[in-house]
Amino acid sequence: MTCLLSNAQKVTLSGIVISDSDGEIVPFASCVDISSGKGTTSNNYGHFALLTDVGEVKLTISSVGFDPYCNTIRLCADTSIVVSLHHKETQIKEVTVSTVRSQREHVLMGRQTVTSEQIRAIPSLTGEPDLIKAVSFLPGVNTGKEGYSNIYVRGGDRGQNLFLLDGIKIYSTNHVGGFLSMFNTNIVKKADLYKGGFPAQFGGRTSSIIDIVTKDGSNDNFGFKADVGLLSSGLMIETPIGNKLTFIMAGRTSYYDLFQLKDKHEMQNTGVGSYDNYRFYDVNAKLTWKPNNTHRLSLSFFHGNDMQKFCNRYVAYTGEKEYELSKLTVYNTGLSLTLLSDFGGTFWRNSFSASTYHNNMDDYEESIGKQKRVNEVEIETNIKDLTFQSKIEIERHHNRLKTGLELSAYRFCPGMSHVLKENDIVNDIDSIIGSDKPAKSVEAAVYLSDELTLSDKASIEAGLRTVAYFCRDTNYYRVEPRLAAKYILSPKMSLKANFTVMNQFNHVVVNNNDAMEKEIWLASTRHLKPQHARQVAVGLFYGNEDKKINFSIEAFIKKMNNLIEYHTPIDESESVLSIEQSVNTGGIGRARGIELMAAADIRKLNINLSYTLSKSQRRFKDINFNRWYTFIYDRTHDINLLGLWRFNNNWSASANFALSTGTPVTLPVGYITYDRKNGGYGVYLSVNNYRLPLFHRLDFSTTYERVTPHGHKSKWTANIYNLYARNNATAMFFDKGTGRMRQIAMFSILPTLTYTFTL
Amino acid sequence: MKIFIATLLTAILAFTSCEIESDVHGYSYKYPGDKLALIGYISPQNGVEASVTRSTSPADGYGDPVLADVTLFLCEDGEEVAECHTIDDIHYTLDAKDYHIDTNRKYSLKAVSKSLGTAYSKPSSFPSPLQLDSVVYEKNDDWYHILTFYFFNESPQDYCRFHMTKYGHGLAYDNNVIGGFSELPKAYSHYEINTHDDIHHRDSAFVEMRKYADEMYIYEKSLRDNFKSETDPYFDNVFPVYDNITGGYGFVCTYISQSVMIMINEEKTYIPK
Repeated sequence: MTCLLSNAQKVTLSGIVISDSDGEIVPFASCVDISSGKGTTSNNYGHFALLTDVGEVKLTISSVGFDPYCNTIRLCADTSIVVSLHHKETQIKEVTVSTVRSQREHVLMGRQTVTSEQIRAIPSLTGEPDLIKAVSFLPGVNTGKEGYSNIYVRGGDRGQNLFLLDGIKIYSTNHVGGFLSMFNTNIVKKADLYKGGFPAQFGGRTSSIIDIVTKDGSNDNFGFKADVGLLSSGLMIETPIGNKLTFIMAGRTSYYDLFQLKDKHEMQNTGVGSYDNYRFYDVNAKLTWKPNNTHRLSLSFFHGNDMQKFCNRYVAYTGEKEYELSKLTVYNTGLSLTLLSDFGGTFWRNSFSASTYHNNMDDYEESIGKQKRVNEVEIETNIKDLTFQSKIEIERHHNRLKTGLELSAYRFCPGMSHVLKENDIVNDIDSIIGSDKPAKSVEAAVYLSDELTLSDKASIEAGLRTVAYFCRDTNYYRVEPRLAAKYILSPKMSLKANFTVMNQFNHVVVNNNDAMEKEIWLASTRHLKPQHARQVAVGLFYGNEDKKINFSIEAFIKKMNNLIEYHTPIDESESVLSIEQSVNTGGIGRARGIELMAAADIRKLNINLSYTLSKSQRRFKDINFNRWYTFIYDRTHDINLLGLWRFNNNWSASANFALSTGTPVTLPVGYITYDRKNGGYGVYLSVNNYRLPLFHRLDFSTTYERVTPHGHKSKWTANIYNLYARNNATAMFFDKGTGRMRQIAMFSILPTLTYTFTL
Repeated sequence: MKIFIATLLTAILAFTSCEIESDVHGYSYKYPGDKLALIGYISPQNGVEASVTRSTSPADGYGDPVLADVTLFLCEDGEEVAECHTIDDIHYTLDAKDYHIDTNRKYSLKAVSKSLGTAYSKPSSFPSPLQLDSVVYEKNDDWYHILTFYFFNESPQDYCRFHMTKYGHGLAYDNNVIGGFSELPKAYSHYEINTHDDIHHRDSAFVEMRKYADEMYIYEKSLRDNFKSETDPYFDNVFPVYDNITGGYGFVCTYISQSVMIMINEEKTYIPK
């Protein structure tokens, strides 16, 4: 009777979405009342609130990797529920469908979610599932050079992406010089990529935020998983500890160095010889304590390490015994402690994290003759940070209010060159002119944003983030407005727009003069001003759950200021300049594009298409004579087509076809001879005036999985990268002797095999 | 199992990846065609020294650059004022005695070819002369010596060349030294000549000092950056070479030439007033 009388009244249906297998919250789940067409998404803490009419509600909640939850609820008053989603047995059929679906509901656009299942479904270069390569499948994202695990988002540079791993800032994401990312997919639960509508809680980079969340350990059973791959092998274990603690740990290591043991022993036994060595490993661990339903404390740890070594021992013609050792060590280490509290619709998240990135090159030479001489030079680059974050999110009828603060302290050491020993005399020389001490800076930010439901169809999210940056010789204060709006055109279609301003105070330049690319982090100073980007985007999102068709189209315009670029290849051991003086500053950039994404399920086949039409340009005073030029990672057309088949419970296959406009390249337009004796020079009129040939490649992967009689899962994955062996050019030049145009390709066909065993 | 797989990986990587260099097939390099290539220098003291050639295609293995049908003119404030003389099939000259070049006017070169049309350079003004303060002679060892020139009011971006024309006993000595480039901080105003000859046996030397217009620094710097970046095909940013020719390629610049006699003494080197 009350329900009938109050038929026109509005009530709030709220709740928390969790996973039935491990009790983990499910953020960004799509929550839709089918009868009215009203929808929302669960927030970061799995909480949702749907304002609807009194009466019957046909609630459908869905998220990637879970079976949809459907229930009819009769509402008389504000109601709160807990929804437990069931994990799908196989997730290979859903790779992007649900991503688009939740995008349609969310006010912000430009955020896309990639789960570990999606990562594993996409064929990769080495057969190793790779988060970054899966992210690069999304429109608006490209990996730059073929094979590398870098991403360039909407005309931005690689240093403009903020990688957060459980809140830990990751400064270098690569193993094997860039061919494999540091993120172990055995422990990654999901990654949210923000490339446009940045929530006010995020800042510090101008192109994208990649927020990676690792799994909590199982609170039911002990779990074990082993991967044996061609490049590396890994283990993952998870276990409950009592009723309230869970633990998960995953690690990977390469084993190329095993093949060098013979050379190493031979050198040690005979006193002459040489060997080279390369090894990487990474370790992730997470301890989660859930004392009750309202609090959750987690401790995450990450360490990734790459080590390359060359050792040579010989007898010189003078009779002196020579010994050379060259060692490159790169490592990232991070730790975070996070406390999450739920006070019934009010969420409070406090976290403390520490992160460090080191790149250390050590050259040691020893010569033993009549006297012993030792020379040792060390070149070191590093950055360290300590970050504290406190975030509050309050969910009420029409509002989702978010506020918080972030405080980070950084210590930069961009290019210390130590001559440790010179003819056995110990030295300590700093190559940085005018800055004997490492640079330090502090970044403080506060933000406030509100997601407000204006009507059944319209909602907005308005936010403001203010940042103060204190560095060596000056301070910077910036205000970053964030505005997003959504209008529901029909139950299946929504229109969105947003405007964001982002600032970046920590810069990275990449020295690719060495065999392994080196990222050098620099603080903002009076000379190096903070980078700044403004972006406007609009998008149309369509999702038809019945026909299993999803489609989105987004258009964006982005302007960037105070960009930096390395000047010429720098030999750091020879240069007397500081790194800061070796970069071009004050660059401006502009990018615009249209991004299209479509996905459809046709029986056992799932097809995903992403297409980007874009243009990105740069302008620097000292590059290209202050004229605009095409950004090196501009791709006019970039197409990815992914097909996934599931033949039966044992066999599945996937194929990925990538096609894009060739990378811009600078080629001469002629040759000037000004002197027959001394020759002349090539006429290079402008930067990036040509393009490499069209890039295209087809990858194929097939998986056989079965459950053993003991209930264990085993899986074989055969992967063929570049199926038709096309030599896609990564560089092109003229042979000066013959005049013939030559190209360099990095990869031809590359078959790989991976075995996974899960308890 | 691991060993087997890792061995397989090594074999696969060895045969299938990393730096596959090959000819480019199915790619059309759009060559904009041969154009006039003009390199020249203009000074009141030395007149005009220039080369005019045909630019050649890098795709043709750098063919024959000689152009037989070219006439080169000196232009003053945009007007043709004198025709240069041919030295050989590439080089042209105009003696300072044949035409008076006024440092208060702008000069350019114009090349006219029946086959490749007309190309002309951007008019160039003359720089202010160098103001020499002192010269210091330093003997490092028996074969290595440095003459350091100190100036008033010169910045590192002033492009200068030094040419030691002869010693006191009349010996010619050719030693072009490019100044203006240093990775040292910007606060210095001296240039050095490193001499690898027996200058310390001499009591004096004549040195020609050239100071070029501002564009020369941009041009030489772009050539240097281009050379450094061009040699590494993996480097993303190949730097373009500065060009100030319309209708063709190349570079034309003005300069001021000054000659000084330096009395060389290990105790005190000085310039006769």
